[in-house]
Amino acid sequence: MKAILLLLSVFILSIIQLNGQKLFSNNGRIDFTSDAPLEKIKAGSNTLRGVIDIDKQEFAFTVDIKSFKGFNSPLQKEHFNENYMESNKYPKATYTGKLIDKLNLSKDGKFTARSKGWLNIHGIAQERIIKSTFEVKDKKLIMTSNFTVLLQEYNINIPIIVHQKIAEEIDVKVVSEFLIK
Amino acid sequence: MKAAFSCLLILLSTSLISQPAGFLVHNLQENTLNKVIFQDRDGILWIGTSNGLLKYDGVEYKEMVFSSKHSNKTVSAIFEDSSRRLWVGFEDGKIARLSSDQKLIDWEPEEGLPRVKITGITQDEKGQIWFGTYGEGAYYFNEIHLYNLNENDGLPSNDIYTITNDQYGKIWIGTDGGASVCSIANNKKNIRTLTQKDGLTDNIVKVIIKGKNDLMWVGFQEGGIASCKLINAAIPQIKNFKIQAGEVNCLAEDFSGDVWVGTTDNGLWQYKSDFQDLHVEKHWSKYIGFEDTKIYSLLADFQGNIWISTSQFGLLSKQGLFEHWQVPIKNIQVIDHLNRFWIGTETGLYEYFHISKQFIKTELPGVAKPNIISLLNDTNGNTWVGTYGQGLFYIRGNLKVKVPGLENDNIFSIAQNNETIWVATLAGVYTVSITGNTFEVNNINKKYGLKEDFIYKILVDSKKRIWLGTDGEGLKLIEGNKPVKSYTKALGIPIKTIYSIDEDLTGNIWISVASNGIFCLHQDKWIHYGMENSLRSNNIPNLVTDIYGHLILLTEKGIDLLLPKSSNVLKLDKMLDLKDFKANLNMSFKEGRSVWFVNNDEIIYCKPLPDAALQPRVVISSITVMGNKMKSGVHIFPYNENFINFNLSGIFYALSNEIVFDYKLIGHDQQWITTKDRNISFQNLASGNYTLKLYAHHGNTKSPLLSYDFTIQTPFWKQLWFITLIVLLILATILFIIRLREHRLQITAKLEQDRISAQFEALKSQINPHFLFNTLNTLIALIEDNPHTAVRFVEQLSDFYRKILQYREQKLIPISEELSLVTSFSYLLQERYGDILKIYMDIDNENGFIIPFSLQMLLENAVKHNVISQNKRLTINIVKKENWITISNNLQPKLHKEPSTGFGLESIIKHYEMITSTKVKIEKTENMFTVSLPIIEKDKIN
Repeated sequence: MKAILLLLSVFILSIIQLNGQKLFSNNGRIDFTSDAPLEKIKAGSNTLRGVIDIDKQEFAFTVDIKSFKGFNSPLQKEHFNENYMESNKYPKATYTGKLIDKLNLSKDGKFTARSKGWLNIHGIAQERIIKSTFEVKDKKLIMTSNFTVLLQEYNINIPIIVHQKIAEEIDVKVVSEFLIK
Repeated sequence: MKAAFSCLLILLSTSLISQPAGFLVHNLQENTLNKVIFQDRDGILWIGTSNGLLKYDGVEYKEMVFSSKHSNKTVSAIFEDSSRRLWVGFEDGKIARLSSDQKLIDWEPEEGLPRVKITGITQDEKGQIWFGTYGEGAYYFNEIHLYNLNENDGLPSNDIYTITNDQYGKIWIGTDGGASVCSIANNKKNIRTLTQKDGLTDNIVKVIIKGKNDLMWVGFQEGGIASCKLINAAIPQIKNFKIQAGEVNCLAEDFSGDVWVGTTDNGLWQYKSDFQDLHVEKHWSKYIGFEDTKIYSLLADFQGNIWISTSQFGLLSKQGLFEHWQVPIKNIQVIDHLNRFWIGTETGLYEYFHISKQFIKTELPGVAKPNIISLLNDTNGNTWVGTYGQGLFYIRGNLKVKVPGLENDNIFSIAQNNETIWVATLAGVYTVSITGNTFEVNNINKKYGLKEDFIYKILVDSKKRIWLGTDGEGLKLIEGNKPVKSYTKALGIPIKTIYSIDEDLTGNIWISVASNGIFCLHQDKWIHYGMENSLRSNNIPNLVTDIYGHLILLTEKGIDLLLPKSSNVLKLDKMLDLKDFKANLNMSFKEGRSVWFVNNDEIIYCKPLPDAALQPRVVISSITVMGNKMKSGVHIFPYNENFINFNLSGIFYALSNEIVFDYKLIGHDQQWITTKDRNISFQNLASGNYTLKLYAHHGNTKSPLLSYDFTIQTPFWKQLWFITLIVLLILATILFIIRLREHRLQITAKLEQDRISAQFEALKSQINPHFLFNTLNTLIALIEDNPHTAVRFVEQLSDFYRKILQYREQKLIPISEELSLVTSFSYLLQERYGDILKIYMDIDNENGFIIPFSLQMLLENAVKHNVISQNKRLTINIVKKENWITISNNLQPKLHKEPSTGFGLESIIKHYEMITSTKVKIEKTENMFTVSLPIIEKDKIN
């Protein structure tokens, strides 16, 4: 709840701040892979929303947990939502914070930049540094990030027997496209 | 105590020191700046330069190899963590770790690396590695993720100058906004920043180091240095020290607690410490010629050396045992500066004034050139001066008086016992006390039953007992009113003449005995040390104990430092470079932590070091096997890689070139081997388990023992699996051979059978009814028409059968015999067929052999399988050429095939195969059928 409020406030703040250059993305792609000894689970969502305030170096991203698709079985998806992510209780995952490195939007090109923020999953906010690759091309900013999430850090408990099927470290990949005004 | 300070103050005052001895210049890589100095737990030095990382052991340096390309190779931070990983930070924000085979491997955390200079690396109490950056705040790594701590979290600035841990594992960070003490608890970042509000003189904190007793030393840009303690976050304990040095760039604290300050543009400074107070600065740089230089890095190593990295002179080091002070006065014999600072020479007494920084000669009444041989500053602030033949003098303030009433004017030793001064002369002992201006002198020799003879030394110990060292009468002990105790023998060795007596901190009394070494009285028991314990001399004019219980022995052969616990002896003069050292009776003076002694125009200040600091260390720097460098921690080598070379480092930087190694390879060497060679090699080691035992030593001071176990693997041909394999292989081969033999026997048996069958076949054909019927029909016709020919015919027939009978058991038949058989057979056929069958023979010679009846059988086959009529005549040619007999006929096969087993030709072929490698040739064209039989030489039969 706290994180959502934080996210909302970031949104509101960014709207109020009229002079700041803000980039929005409404249909970013987020995928996760759990590569456990016995099973590989992949799922993703196309509804990642994000905003980057270039002047203030701030950003916010959010995704609906229920929007993840592509599990190995409908039962798996149900387990994901009900047992592990408890998506009724914690419907969203968010990442909000500040950029460490500056984004250079003035010319086309590729660069990496790091962000520091709070990654909120399963109702738990953890501070993280996430390195992303940015590409400026044709008035667009394409952001690609790869990072890992430790289930233990987010209080997502897996019965020991399921360990063979779900990795303790989940690989996450995010691709978001922003229009540069 | 105050008195001691002032003495120190005087001694270390800058203008006096004209020759700072003891600095070593280490010539490392040229044209590179040595930016960072770090010592790992083995004692190896790691030097971060503008060109990478060097490993240095005092003798040679090695350049560490980068595993990837670095555009900026300038090292800006080095740290060894608790699991012995070496972290290296660079000016461009890159971080590398040293691999076990000593390569710099880039560290690539998921979170990415800083893009600004790494200013420091350290580790907190949870084992997390911290990185300070100049521009991005601090990062910390919990072995999974990298996290950041910057202005947003409450750090005063993102520009970190310095980062270090305290002894509780808290992280101290220096920025432009003060010193911040940080810790992470339950994902919460706790920061407590000390600023001017808390009492710091300056907010710009350039450097923080860990000091002794929970203390942190903080160096400022302008405000000098401060000691900080933060046990209770609310009440920081801060003590500021204003110093002349200028902008602090680096700090180090040595064993004695002195603080060394490296500045950005004002060279190197040393600050004396006592009970957490700093005093007196010494601007070393002025005297070594790097006054205005930048000091990049300072390190106080665990052997008491100070390492200094300068912009101009590269890497310097200074041993920590001694400091020299050369003064403009010659032939100094005694020193005492407990209150007033006195030195005495052969010709006068001098007092040192620290304000004017000068020695002033003090005239003694009635003597022009007093030969000063003993001195004592008593606890009342008075000075007692003993001369050789000129009596005893008393100085109070400006008052100087010759003490009257002494019967002997040769004063060898002066000691204080409460208000009484004890004086040793060449004619026994006197006590002197003073009331007002009146001296009371007592000759106490008779009272204590002492001989009025030479007394060299008086010592009043911590229990107020009085010890006397006599010449010839042994050691005397006066304890209250008890009768005098005499020691003339110890451990069966006579102790007659005692030169020197001292008491160590645990109350042991140490004496030096003329020609008999030294003795220790430890709880009423004597312990002896002499040349058999590696002392250089048994004649020791002067001994002093230090705070660690070590003995400094001043002898005519040099200065030995005896470590009684280990019986190790260090030759101290080798580190000192003393000119014309002469040992003398009263040349030493002990005060607080330090021992002083004099030598001609030098005053030597000796800072004691603990045993561990005086001990060398031994490290196996690298192991190469067959010329290939091994990863560290490898203990198993293949059987064929048994050329092993160990590269050794002996760590004792003050005497690097004196290091000798002792080693023994258990499992190979029977005896210890001593070598100065830093490489030891073993060749052709048999497979098995080995342990390399190794010491480094200088003099008889050994490093702790180093053991390295390794195994040369058993060659595979001696391993069970291989032996099993070989046995199985041999068994399989034997089995195969048996099988092969059996198979051959079977074939031979079969061929034998075939041969018998062939014979049977031949016989059968020759007595077959059809043949007989045809032959007999022909015979009937002949008997009627031509009885003469009939007789001949029967002759040929019987001849034919005789030959068959004769050769049917033989393997081979001479060609001539076979031909005569064929001739008989031909005759029979010719008679029957007349001129519609023509048989020609063209034989060049009749040598050689063939299989019996083979030609006959082929001839018979030709007749049997072909049409013979008036229209289709059959011509058979039998030709012998060279090694072949060829039988050919024009091919006109019968439409109705004669019943045939096909056995004849096949049996001939098989028969030949058995006897010779040359095969029977069969050629069949449209109108010719040819069979060629190889001729066998009898001696070429298989």
